[in-house]
Amino acid sequence: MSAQRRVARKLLAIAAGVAMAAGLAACSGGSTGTTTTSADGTLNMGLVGSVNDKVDPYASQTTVGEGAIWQNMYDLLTYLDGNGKLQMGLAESFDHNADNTVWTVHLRPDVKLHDGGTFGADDVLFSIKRMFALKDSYGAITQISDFVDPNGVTKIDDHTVRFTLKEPYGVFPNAWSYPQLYMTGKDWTEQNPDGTGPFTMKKFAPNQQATLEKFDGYWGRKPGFKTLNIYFFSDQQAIVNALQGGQIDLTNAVPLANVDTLKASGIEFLKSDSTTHLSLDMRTDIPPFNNPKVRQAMELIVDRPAVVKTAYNGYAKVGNDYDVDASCSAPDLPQRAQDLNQAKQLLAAAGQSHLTVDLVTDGAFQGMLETAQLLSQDAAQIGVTINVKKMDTGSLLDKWLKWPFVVNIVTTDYLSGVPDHSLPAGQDNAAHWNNAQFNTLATKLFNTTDQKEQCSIVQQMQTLQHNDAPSIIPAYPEDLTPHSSRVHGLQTNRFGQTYSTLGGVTVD
Amino acid sequence: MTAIIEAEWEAERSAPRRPARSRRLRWLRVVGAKLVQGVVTLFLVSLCVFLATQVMPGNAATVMLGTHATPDRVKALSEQLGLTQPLWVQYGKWLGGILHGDFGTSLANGQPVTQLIATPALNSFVLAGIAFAVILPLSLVIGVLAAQFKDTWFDKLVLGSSMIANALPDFIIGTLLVFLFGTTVFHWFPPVAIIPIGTHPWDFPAKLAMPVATLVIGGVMYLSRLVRVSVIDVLASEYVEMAQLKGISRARILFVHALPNALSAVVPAASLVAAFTVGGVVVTEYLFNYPGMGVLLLQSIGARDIPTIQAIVLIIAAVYFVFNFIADLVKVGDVQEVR
Repeated sequence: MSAQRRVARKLLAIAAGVAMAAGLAACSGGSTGTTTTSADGTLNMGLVGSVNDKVDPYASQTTVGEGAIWQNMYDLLTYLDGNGKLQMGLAESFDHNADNTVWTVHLRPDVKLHDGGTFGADDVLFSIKRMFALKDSYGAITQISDFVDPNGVTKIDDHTVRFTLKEPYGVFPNAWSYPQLYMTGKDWTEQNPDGTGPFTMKKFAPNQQATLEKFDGYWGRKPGFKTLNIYFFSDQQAIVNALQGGQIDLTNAVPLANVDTLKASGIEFLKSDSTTHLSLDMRTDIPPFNNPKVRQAMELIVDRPAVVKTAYNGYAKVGNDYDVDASCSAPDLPQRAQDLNQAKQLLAAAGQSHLTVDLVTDGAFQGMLETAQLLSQDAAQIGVTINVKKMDTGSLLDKWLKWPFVVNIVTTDYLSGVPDHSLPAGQDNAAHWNNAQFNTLATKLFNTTDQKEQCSIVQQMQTLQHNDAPSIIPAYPEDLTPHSSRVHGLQTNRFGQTYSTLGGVTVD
Repeated sequence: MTAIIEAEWEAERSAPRRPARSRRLRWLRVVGAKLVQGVVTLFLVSLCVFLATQVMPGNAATVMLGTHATPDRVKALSEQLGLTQPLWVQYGKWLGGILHGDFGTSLANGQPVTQLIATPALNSFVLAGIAFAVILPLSLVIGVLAAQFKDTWFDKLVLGSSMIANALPDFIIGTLLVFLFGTTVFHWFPPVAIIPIGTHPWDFPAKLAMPVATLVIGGVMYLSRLVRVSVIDVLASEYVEMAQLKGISRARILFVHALPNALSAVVPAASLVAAFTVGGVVVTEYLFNYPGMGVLLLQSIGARDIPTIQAIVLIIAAVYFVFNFIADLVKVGDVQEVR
């Protein structure tokens, strides 16, 4: 054996020893990769979060992580159950006068606040005052600011509050189910965030972790475990990895391309129908989309089954260009399908045979970019050029409501969504749609208290939206909530809140 | 600026021998010039980043308000955040604050930036520090071995691996590691670095393993090549031949005689690798959800949180400067040594 080889062997042996020692040390440091949880009834949730997340429910919501914290720390006066039916929350009942301008809210008695006090009228007044005081930055206030006058809210007794409205409003109880109009205790501060929800906040570090503990005095259905850890992530793929590696038990959603892989590694999925859907909004007030023929042509270009298959991996139903109402049955409308010949004829009739438009998206939600690209490919078949422009969210928001053609998303229930997405002053009405007949029906809808009549009006509105075509709604996606086999008792939810509605949920 | 200093060193090298005091003064002058250069560089970096953030569409107000951003509301919030002031006033205020040790207040959540970045910055330095502590000795060992066994299978393996690793971005290397050792093939390490509140990254060595490995692979494969070349050069020198003739053991020649002489060429590259490692944590942190300043930087860009972006970029730039400065000092030291 030469000297050179002896040196080599000695050095390689040292290197191998170092590598082995390092490997063993790393393995002994916790090779399972799981966070210690199961015996003490802890649920580890992983959600997208941000350094901007706050415990203040009246901050502008930026992430799903922040939304989950609020939902579990605070309660609403009313809420929509998993099937879209209105249920009483902190409110026990509502009375109103004949023209729906004065509403009296009777609060549920014996609701405990986290700080030990009893929730009452003073807390409602405090909460509403804060919501309006923060009007410069609190977006959700637009849900009620048209009809609620903060000076018109008065305490009748400890558990009764009267609202004298600016204008008649028939669906007043529904308005309070909007999932950001939470009530807090009157002594709420950022350091002592007092609420009535099923959990109290123990530790919170934005973009890192929130630890919440079960509130034993909760008035509603209690969770079946003691501690809720919410770990925050910046990236969906990291959430997938954490789920696969057993570091988290539950999240709200994963990119659908990962579903099969996760199923193979033992992750289970709870499937719910969902009201959340994409809406490709065309500006109806400027050319070329101010011509209804052009909009109708665009709606005939898109291959909806292809969107369901490609953008949603099959986890969606074919869309029909109207917003969904979970509490009413669908209108009786023919299913719109791809018809390139008719689309071509309509464009020719509109003088737009060689239409070229930009379609912008931030691709922030499942299916956005894929749907835009599929539409672009379909359009190319008849000589229409749709340039898909992907940008970051900040850039998209910079010209919000100015884009001629944009991929929007509707996440709320119908009654909350209509003012935002379909009425002229709506801040989500990227189509600038202003249909007089629709607006009249909306006024009628918001001033009726009869649910049967409401559904009849909703179906007429959906029919108008379908026919006038301000938006392409190519698919109604399903909501898939991934969870480990340790988690039991999750309930389907049409508003994408399966993961965060934890009453009755248990952990092995 | 660098060219001027290089020229000074050359002049120093070729100048007639001066008394020790004069040499020290000259050395201090070079060091002083480098420090001034660093401060000017950091100032220019901050100016460039500030201007770049102004070019980006949208501001903190539009991002915070989301789709509820009516012009009135954007205006009100922009005024509240001080974004309606002239650019030079905004920048001047920020710069004035920096000179007083105040990095300003986050536009996104109202916290002092210093407080916001303290823990993430510490976490990033821990990650980069551990990675570099592995990179340096491992590169030296691999480089020396590859030089010793030049043109053997080992050398070819090192060169081949190096080419592949250098061609792959950290993101791909990390993703492969997660696939191999975290989620799919083996389940040896946690695929994500969840660091619970009240704990530190060093409390969880297993969680650090893959982020560190991601940084180490790229660093070692780059630096070991340089070590190899440098050692090969030294091994061809006359004094090594002399040592061999004297019968000194090969291991002693390699690590006692050849390696220290090869280091003068390697140290500047090692400094750069150290700087790259700190810069490289941005991608690695994102991939492993490691709670460092890289993740914070990406989020701050999304939120158009200019003071936080500025602070983090300045920290990274300062780290680059410090390591370059160390490399330069070593070089100056070498010149003195030679003289």
